[in-house]
Amino acid sequence: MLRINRLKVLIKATNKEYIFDESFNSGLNLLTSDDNTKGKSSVLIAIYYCLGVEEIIGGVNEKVLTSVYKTVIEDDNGRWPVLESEMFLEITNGTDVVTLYRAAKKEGRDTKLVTVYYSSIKDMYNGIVGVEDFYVHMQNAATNVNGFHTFLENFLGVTLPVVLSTDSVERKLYLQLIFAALFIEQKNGWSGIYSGMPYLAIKDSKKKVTEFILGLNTFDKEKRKSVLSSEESAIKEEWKEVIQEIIITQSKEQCIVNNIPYRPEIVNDKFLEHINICKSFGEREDIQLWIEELMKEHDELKTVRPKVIDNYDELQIELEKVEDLISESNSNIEQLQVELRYIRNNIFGLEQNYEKIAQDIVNNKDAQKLRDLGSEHQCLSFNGICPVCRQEISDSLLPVQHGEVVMSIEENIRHLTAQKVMLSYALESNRNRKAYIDGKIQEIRNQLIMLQRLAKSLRNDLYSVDEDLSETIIYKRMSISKKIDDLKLFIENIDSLAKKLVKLSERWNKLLTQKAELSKLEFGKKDKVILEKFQNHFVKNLKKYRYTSISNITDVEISKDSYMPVIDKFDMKFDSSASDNIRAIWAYTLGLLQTSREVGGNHFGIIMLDEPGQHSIGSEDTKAFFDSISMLGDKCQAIVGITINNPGIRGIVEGLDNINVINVGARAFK
Amino acid sequence: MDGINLVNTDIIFDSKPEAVPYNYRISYKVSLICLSMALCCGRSGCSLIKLQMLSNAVSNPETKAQLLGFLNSNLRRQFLVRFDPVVNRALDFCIVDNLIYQQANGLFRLTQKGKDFSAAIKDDKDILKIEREILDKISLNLTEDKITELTDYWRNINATN
Repeated sequence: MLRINRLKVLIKATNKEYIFDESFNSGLNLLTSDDNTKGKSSVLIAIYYCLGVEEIIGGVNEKVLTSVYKTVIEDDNGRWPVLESEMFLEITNGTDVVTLYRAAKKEGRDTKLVTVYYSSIKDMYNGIVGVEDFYVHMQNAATNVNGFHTFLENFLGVTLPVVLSTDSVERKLYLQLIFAALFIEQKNGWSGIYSGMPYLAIKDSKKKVTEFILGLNTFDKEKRKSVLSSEESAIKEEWKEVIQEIIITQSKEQCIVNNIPYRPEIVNDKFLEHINICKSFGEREDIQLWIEELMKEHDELKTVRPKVIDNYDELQIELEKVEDLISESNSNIEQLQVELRYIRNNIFGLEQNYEKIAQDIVNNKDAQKLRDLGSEHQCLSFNGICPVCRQEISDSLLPVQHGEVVMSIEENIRHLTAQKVMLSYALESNRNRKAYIDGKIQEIRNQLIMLQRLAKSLRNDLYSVDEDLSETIIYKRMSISKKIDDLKLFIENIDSLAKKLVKLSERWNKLLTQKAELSKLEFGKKDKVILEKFQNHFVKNLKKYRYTSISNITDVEISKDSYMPVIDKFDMKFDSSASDNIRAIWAYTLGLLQTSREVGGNHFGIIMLDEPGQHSIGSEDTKAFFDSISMLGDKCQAIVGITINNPGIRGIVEGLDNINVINVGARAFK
Repeated sequence: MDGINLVNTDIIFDSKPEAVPYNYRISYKVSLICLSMALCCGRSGCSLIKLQMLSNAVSNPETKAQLLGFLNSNLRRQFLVRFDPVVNRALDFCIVDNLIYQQANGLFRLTQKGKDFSAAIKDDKDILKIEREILDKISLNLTEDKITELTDYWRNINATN
């Protein structure tokens, strides 16, 4: 909780020192004056400033402050230049009391500096009081230990949730945003619910603030969601790696591994048995059969005596065969290279077209935007109307034949988008084909090396002395036995990779279960109850303040998507008159406090409103509003700045019990 | 040969709507003219030739380089200007839509409405990004004097006695 105990403002002018020094109580505090421009708002601004939330007013640091703090102060005797101005705010969280000191104008003191005295204003100059300096509005002021808002967060005993910023980076929900729901400022706070909220690049900031104040569980859910999504991408990545490895090794060993899912899925128990490896060329036989065949061949070669004389004719025939194979492989490579060149050209052309179309889409979208912009500026020709004769014209500068239909910009964009999709499809298939051909060429080249070696051995044998050992047979035997070893190793390799996939699949299974559980949580029971309570309070408040723009007030709902009041799914603001809009802001601001107190939410237990009696709001309704604040009792604090300029309001203020009235009189700073 | 009548009914051909390139859209060209006048013309006004040159320069990188080369060199006097009828037609729309008016000396200027419109375009940083970059580069360098010099050169180049 947060309570403001006392505010002391010192303004040193050339003639004297002006002071505002008042204490605030729990419950309702009214800061009154008989007329406008007496300094009420300047006093309230000092509270924003000391808490470092002046962004709600519309800027940072001293520039948002009124001129009394910076340049000139006026009194009955004239206008006096301001030399120095500083503010002290004594706040408490229920147990500890601290005083915040921030200067608005003081030579040699940075306005971004907030000094925290660990005592009340009364004792702050006592020598044993701890003092610490903090900074506001600096990079990382919300997360750095020297950041004032980090101090404030700890002091208030809240843990600010981590939310996503508009550029999808995780950030802390800023305190300024939360205070914008509690402090309603006079100039732009009354134009709508949360209208004073500064833009700090937080995604759905209004929604997040309501969630935080009411203590809804969705935050927990979002956190879990982000954990799950990172787990999901991790699994996908690991899965992809395994598949990649399988693809690389299989082409090296001239094999194909079947029944492997390319994307994460839950595999069944028989997954490992179903994996099947076969030869990638010739007849697609099973790898085991292939190994057996190779072994047979190997054994047969063993029985052959490796002497050249025995198989001179055979050698001759085999050499011819091998040479045939070599030339066939060469011509295959040539063909593939021709195709590869063609595909490369294709890809190049397609990429250029793709870029062109993408640029065209951007330009067409520009034209669409320009058309809308032109319509706003009443350019008739942009809307397909001739500015001279007011007849219909087509949106084209090219000569249009009679009866010819021209595509509208929207149609054109759709048309181009469809073309883009087609091109990207063509690009993808060409790229796939290119990868396939690259692999194929590599494979044939490997084979070619082997064949050439074999041919060389054959030739050596043919020209060698008859009694020599046959090099061909020895080479063949060696290469076959090496192939057998390689294939066996490959099987083992695939086996271990498949086991990895099984493990990943188990993780995937777990992830999907957790995701399903999470979606069930969509709107937790507890959240529903909280929102219903909030809605009840809001509607009750509306009735109390005599909101009349909508005949049936019970139709008003709090939207589950935006937490804003809606009627028939439309923002209630559209149906409200100006004064009813103010009533809605009262009802919403107070509703947040009432609900949060009931359900143990995170509301700081303080609200501050400057001139809530905007537009033609009657004194009766103001009384109802004050009554509902008083009903909250001592457990919260409300500071309201109000001008008492008619007897109705005066009567009400005088009729209220248990309130603290601070009348600033003719001037707030004396 | 006995023909088999496959088609019993008449065949009707419907013309499909024709796609129009973005730079032939009224909205695009008119906006571009307004923007180029706002970015590249001083107070005196802007001639038709200048509008043609600017419009051609933003249409592709090659023509852009040509125009910038012409502007940056004092020696080059020859420059081929492509007269695009589309620009003339767009200019007609600008005039009847009250975005641009023609002064007594023949030069064109933006009306208040035209100025407001081009200010609105300038405010939206996302539209006409590339065009804006080129026009900013050209800025006020393409003066009317330079254009007069160019047209004088045309007049004299093939003059024979």
